[in-house]
Amino acid sequence: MSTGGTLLPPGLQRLLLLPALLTILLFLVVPLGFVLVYSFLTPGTYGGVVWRFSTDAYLQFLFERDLFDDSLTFNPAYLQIYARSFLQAAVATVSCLVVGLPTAYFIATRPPARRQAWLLLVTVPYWVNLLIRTVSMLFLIRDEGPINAALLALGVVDRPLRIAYTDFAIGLGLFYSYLPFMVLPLYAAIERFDFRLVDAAYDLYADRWTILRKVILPVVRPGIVAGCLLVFIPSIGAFIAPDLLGGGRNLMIGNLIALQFQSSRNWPFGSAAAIILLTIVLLALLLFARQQRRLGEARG
Amino acid sequence: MQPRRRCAIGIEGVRKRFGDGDQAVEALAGVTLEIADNAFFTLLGPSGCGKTTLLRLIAGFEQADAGRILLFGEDIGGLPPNRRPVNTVFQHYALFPHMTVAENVAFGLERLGRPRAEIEATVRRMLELVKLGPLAGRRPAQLSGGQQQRVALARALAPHPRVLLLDEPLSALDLKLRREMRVELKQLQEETGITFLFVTHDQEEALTMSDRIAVMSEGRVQQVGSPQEIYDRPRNRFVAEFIGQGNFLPVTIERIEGGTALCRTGFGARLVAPASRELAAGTRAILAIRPERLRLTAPGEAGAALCGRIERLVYVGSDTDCRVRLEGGPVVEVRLRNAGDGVPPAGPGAPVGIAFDPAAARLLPEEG
Repeated sequence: MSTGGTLLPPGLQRLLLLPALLTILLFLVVPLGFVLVYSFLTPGTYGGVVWRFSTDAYLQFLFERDLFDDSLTFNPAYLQIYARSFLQAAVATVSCLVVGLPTAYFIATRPPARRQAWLLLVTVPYWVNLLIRTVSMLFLIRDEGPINAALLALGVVDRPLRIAYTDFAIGLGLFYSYLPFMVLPLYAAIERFDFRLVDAAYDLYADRWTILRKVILPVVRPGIVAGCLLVFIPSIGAFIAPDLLGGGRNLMIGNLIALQFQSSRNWPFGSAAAIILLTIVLLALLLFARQQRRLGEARG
Repeated sequence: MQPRRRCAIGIEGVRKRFGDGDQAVEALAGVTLEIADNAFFTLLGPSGCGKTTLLRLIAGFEQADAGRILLFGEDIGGLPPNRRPVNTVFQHYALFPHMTVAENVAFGLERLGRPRAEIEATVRRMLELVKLGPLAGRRPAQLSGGQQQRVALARALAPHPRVLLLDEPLSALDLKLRREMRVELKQLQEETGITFLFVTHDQEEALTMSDRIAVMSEGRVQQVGSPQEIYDRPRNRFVAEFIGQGNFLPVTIERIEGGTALCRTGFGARLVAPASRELAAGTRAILAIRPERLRLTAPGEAGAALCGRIERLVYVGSDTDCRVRLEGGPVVEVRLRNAGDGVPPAGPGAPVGIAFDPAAARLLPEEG
């Protein structure tokens, strides 16, 4: 089907995409190319790279090279960082889903005029810079912060509760940062949901739980998957939340990469770490796309 | 007297209001009905008459404010929809888009926990019944409107409900398909022996399919009867006007002799109609008569009850609608059969007489 044919002749319609394509080419594809090339070079002594081919960066990801005899021993430290990042992102995604689904359901079932107001409230956090929001969170949860002050004053604890600089704090930060990314696609899916299907299922002897499981969730599934991707992908590579809330002690992939370009001055390894993360994300997307296509084929 | 069939649904003094305060709308203002088992029963009325509300009350989607709903003698008022052995065919089908045709039809049976083999057999039988066997693996989005309609029917019939509720199921189909489905629906009712409670605003649908019809307006049942009774002996002007077309002449009843009432119209014509029990001599009434029950005669011919001039002729295929301005009075519609061999009626302006069999006329109480 041809659409949009009236504004521009078909031959010129591609021009509409040109500015965006140029931007992506210049600021995404070109730098990404550099990162890919750098990951196969040798680190310079004071940062930067020496133009000599090397796969050391990728070897370093899994192995430690002995200083004396050049032998390789398996080193799971970096894998653990990736595993932790994966776990943190997964926990953040599930938490966002658990909180976002009822929220989106509530908003989508309000009268149409009210929905806009609720959606606006969901986007309120984006009016404030992420850095400011994360720092404010740190102020709230640190040992001397108001939460611990209140707990101490109430006698719930006799020592400040350790919240800041823990994995829990990172998870909390990720959850809070990306919750709207979950709510919005879920809302869009539920808003389109035909609630007459609920009547039909109820009429055909289904109880509430079965209606949710067999009718509502499968039909709004694309929204769930979209929300999960939108939370999971930025979470796994997050930098600000683990850096500020984790105190830089519990590294996530984002911190690892930053570290390599800054204090460690190992640009090739930082690049390799970034490429590995990119590969993981692309694989996840590919799997998702394949599954969607299968569903699409089955559904026609 | 014909033997009484079992009563499938009993509606006793049911009332239902929506909203509160000044905005409250009385959807059902005290409805009492008996729907016999193994019947095709139709609730007919204009939109907003309460027919869909009544259906939703029976299905369990709404709760009545007062009155009882009995299913084979048992009060089902307190049961949620998933505990009532009735199923609904929804106006827009409400098929599950993520399931195949077969999965849709199996849904109710699965919820009832029927064994796998029984479910498969029933689904196959249902799909054959609605002639959709080869499409079992398709999704609703791959079907035409008429096919979706059949899936909705099969899905609602599969659990073998005690009563099948149909909420304007044909309204989304085009005219040709609608005509075909009327016949099929009636056949399905007869084949399955399940009581069908059919809601529609389409009088033709109601007349062609129903064993009995309840005509509703403003939350009340206006008349219950067979299609012939409703059409030939409407109880009031609303029923007469809503079903078919009619001519309504204000008259005063002068005398009643035997079963016959002698009436005089405001413009001086004298007409004869069967007397009505509620209407005594001397009262004002409405004389109703269907356009097809009127005949055109030569002007002044003996037996012509009315006379006037042809105002307009409208050709509608099988018939010609003829508007006649009565002398000193209103306009009446006369429907003439186009047999093809008859003489075409005279053109506009021609004087004509109008005759009718008094038994075809009907005296109705004057409104208000």
